[in-house]
Parts: sequence; C-alpha cells; structure tokens
Amino acid sequence: MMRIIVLLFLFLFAASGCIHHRIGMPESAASQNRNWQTGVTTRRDVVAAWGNPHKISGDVWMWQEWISNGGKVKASYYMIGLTISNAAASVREHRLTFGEDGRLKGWEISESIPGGSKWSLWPW
Amino acid sequence: MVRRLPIIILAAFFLDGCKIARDQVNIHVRDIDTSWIEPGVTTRRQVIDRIGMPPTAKGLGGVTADAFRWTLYDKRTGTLEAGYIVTPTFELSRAHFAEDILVRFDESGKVSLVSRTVSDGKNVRITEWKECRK
Repeated sequence: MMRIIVLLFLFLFAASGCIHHRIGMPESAASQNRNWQTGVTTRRDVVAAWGNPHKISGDVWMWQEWISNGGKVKASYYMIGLTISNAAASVREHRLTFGEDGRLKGWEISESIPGGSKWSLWPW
Repeated sequence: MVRRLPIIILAAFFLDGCKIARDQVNIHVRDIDTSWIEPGVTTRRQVIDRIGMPPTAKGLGGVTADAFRWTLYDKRTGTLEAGYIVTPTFELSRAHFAEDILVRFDESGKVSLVSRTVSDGKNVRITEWKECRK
C-alpha cells in the first residue's frame, strides 16, 4: 500500500504542470534600470515610467511587482477530482518618498517571498 | 492522410485542454471624464456628484482617507491542460492596470492631484496630470 502511495505521489509530482503569474508594474518598465535622482526626479517622472502608484501613504508612494511561480496538477476520475498546487510568490516593493515640492527625497526596494501550497477536492 | 491522422488526433487532444481567457474589470473607467476637475478648486463632493464613488471590485480601485482611485484591470491567461485522469496544468498570466485614475485630496477636501495613466502591459503613458502644490 505504501509503495502505491509513494508511486502515486511521484507520478503526480512528475506530471505536475507549471504556472507563472505576474501582476503589477509592466515587466519592461520594471526591468529598466531607473536612475532616480534625489532632488531632481519628480513624481510625474516616476508615474510616466511605472504608472500610478499601487499604494500611497502620505508622501511615500509604493509600486509593486508580484510574480508567482508554481506547479499545479489535477487528478480526476469519474465524479471526483483532486487538485494539488504549490506556488512561491515574489513581491518586490519600491517605496519612493517625495518632498513637498514633489521631488524625490529617497527610495528603498524591499522583496518578500511568501509561499504556500493548497489542495482541494471537488466534484468533477 | 493516414500519416497525418496521429498528428490530428494529438492536436485535437491538446486543443481540448487549451484555454485563452481575458478578464477585464471596471471597463467603464475608460469613459470617465476627468478633464473638468481643477486641482485647488474642485471638491471631493463635486467629484462624487459627477463621477460617483470608485468601485472596489476584486479589491481594485477604492477609497482611502485622501484619495479616490478608479482602475481598469486587464488580465490575460493562457492555459493548457493535457492529460487523462492526471492532468498537469500549464498556465501563464499577465495582469496590469490598463487604465488608472488617481485623484488625491488635501486636508480641506479639495483636489490636489489628478493622475491618469494607460498601459498596454508593456509601456505606460500619462494621459492626464494636474497637480496643485502649496
């Protein structure tokens, strides 16, 4: 019985597909190396390159890139099915602080990698 | 024809599990007119009267203490599910804000910024930028 379970698990693993999702600022915009200059770059310059910020907190404007990669496989037979998926997300956040004159005061980039897996059993 | 039959059967097998989808949320954002808004003059009440409150479908757009935001969310997904009984799923998706309107207010409730951008998923363009600095 144990052998069957292990073989089934290996088969599911081998047959697992792959998933790639991307949300946030356009890839081409994000990949460009922006040389923002404090005291020179304005809010409008950044918006022209990255679009409107995804979050604003006072004078701190934040843009996000959210990328998720993972695997997903469905197994179904007759009336029931099983879905197993696993994904690792990477969230990169660019925080830019502007002064009252609308010019850049400073910026920081942070990256977090939340991950997770889930499974669901559903009627086919 | 006999030689091509396995290829046709294989293609039909793969096409059966092939899906291309496009999901657009808040499509009416394209029709919102913001040209009449004057930073430093127009009030929050006037914005609500003429445009209404921003929708918050799928957590997009919304209202914060000092800003309103209208977002047209555009997601394209390609999926291939090939298999029988065990079906590995291959999926690729790209989502971006196709049109985004940001209106910020100052402490007195007057508009301080109107920023409108459009994106095709690769490039961003500002279509409207009006700012009132103290």
